[in-house]
Amino acid sequence: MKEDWTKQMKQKLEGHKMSPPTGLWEGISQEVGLGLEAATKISTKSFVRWYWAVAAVVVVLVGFFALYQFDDNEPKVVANNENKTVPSNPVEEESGEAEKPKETLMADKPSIVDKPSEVPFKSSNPSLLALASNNTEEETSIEKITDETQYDTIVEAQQTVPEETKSETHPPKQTYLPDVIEPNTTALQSEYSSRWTFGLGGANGLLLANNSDSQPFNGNYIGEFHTIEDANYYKGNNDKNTKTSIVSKHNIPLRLGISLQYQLNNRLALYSGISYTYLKSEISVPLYNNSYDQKLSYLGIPFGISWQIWSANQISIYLSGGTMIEKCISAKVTDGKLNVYPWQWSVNASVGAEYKIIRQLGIYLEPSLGYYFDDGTSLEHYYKERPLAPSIQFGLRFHLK
Amino acid sequence: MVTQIVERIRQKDQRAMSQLYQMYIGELTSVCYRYIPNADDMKDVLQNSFVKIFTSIPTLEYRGEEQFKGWLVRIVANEALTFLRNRKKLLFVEQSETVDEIDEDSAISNTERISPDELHQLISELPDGYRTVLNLYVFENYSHRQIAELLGVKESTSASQLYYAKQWLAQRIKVLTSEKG
Repeated sequence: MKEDWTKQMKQKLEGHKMSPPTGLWEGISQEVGLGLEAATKISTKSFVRWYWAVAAVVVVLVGFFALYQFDDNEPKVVANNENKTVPSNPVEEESGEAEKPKETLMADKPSIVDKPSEVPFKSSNPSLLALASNNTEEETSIEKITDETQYDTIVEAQQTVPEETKSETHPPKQTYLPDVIEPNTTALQSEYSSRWTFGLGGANGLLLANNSDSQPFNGNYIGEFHTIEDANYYKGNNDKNTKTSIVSKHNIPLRLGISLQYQLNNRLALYSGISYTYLKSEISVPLYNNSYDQKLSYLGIPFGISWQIWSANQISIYLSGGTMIEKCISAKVTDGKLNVYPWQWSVNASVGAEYKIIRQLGIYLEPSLGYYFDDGTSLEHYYKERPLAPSIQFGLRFHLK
Repeated sequence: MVTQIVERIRQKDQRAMSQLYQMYIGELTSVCYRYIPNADDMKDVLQNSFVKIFTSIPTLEYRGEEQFKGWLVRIVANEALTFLRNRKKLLFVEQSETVDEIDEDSAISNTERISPDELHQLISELPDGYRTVLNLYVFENYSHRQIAELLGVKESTSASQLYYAKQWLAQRIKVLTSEKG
């Protein structure tokens, strides 16, 4: 009779069901590392939002570029302006300001090339042009350099001075522009005036070709639990000491990108763009004698600054540094998808060399060193194993007119 | 069908994993709730259980649907026990006062009148020690010797906990049925 009651209870609850806790499946999917239908529904939404965000950035970049490209009134400030500044100004000499270093004066006026809205108006002013062609008037204007409020007018006047007049009256010594002291500025003139550079490039970790050595680790990739006691229990095997290890082999990353570079002056440039990164790994579980490939795709937006340190003829050498934010847009394994789409933030520094095949087309090569911050997920990939990753970047640059 | 699902999971078919989850999650949640009637803790235990299930299936020797289901339940029960052991020392309430004899005949007739949900809920309301032993003995078919080994207690403690659990349940079921009229 006693057994009847416990049997009754057991039978009564046979097949009894309850609703699972909210978010359970998402948690399991994340833990196992395999994205399944229910769990990926939410990700799909953010996925779509991400595509829209990327599209918006592209439109903004292209629009910004187009605006500048088709603006005929954009000022063409000549970098190697041979007009002189103050040395012949008797007023300054008398007032004791003649000893003031010329560099100081130059440094006070770097913003001249950054005021495009003012210059077109002045260049269309015929009276100014007339003034500029007159030597006497020009000297009068130079006097005004000490008056910072008149600076733009004077520079525009200097631009319109005929070459002959300039060479006769003032030997080339100095300019107001702080970045044209180098004697080779003539070669840079067209670069600076075009301002925009469009690039197509690729990169990979050639320097880390031997990095694909397999490294066993106490893997948590397919979950924290690797004891197989339950499976052995099922088989009547009580050996509970066996642990599973996971061996991952990360292939060299591949990166392709489109970049836009804006020349602040003929040394400094800002760059941004869009990049696509492909990370492939081979992950195997020796105990289970199986393996699978993991393929991750990232879309990223780099942003940085480059500084030209040397230039001669068709070759220029530069340093650059920047950051990049990337979003995983596709995470696949053999026959399936993962449900983890992490963000990846990195910083990098590089030294590059560019060779101009023709005036508007150059090829470049950039050894680079990047640091990739932990994305906070259990996802294993190349940059997780090698956060400090050297790479080689290369590509083409189109210097737009 | 389950055979095919298991086979597909061995081949890393994610849909098969989803199907397996959908197929058994209701019953396994019920099992887990009997051990751990706390939503957050239950979620953790179920999550760990499924991770273990999916990672263990490749080495599983499939012997039929019934045995497979028993294996799933056993994994959840084991995970629940591990959780209970890790969380805190299980309290086994020893009643010093003399307990009444259980009238199991009336317990059977009263149990007939309550729903599975009500019985399930009453079991979940048992004190931890009572509930754990009752679950292992009644639902997992462990002997008192096995329970004693699992929980690190004497066999007599396991037996007494089961007795108190049944007495507690009989009283609660009686109250519930009397309320129903």
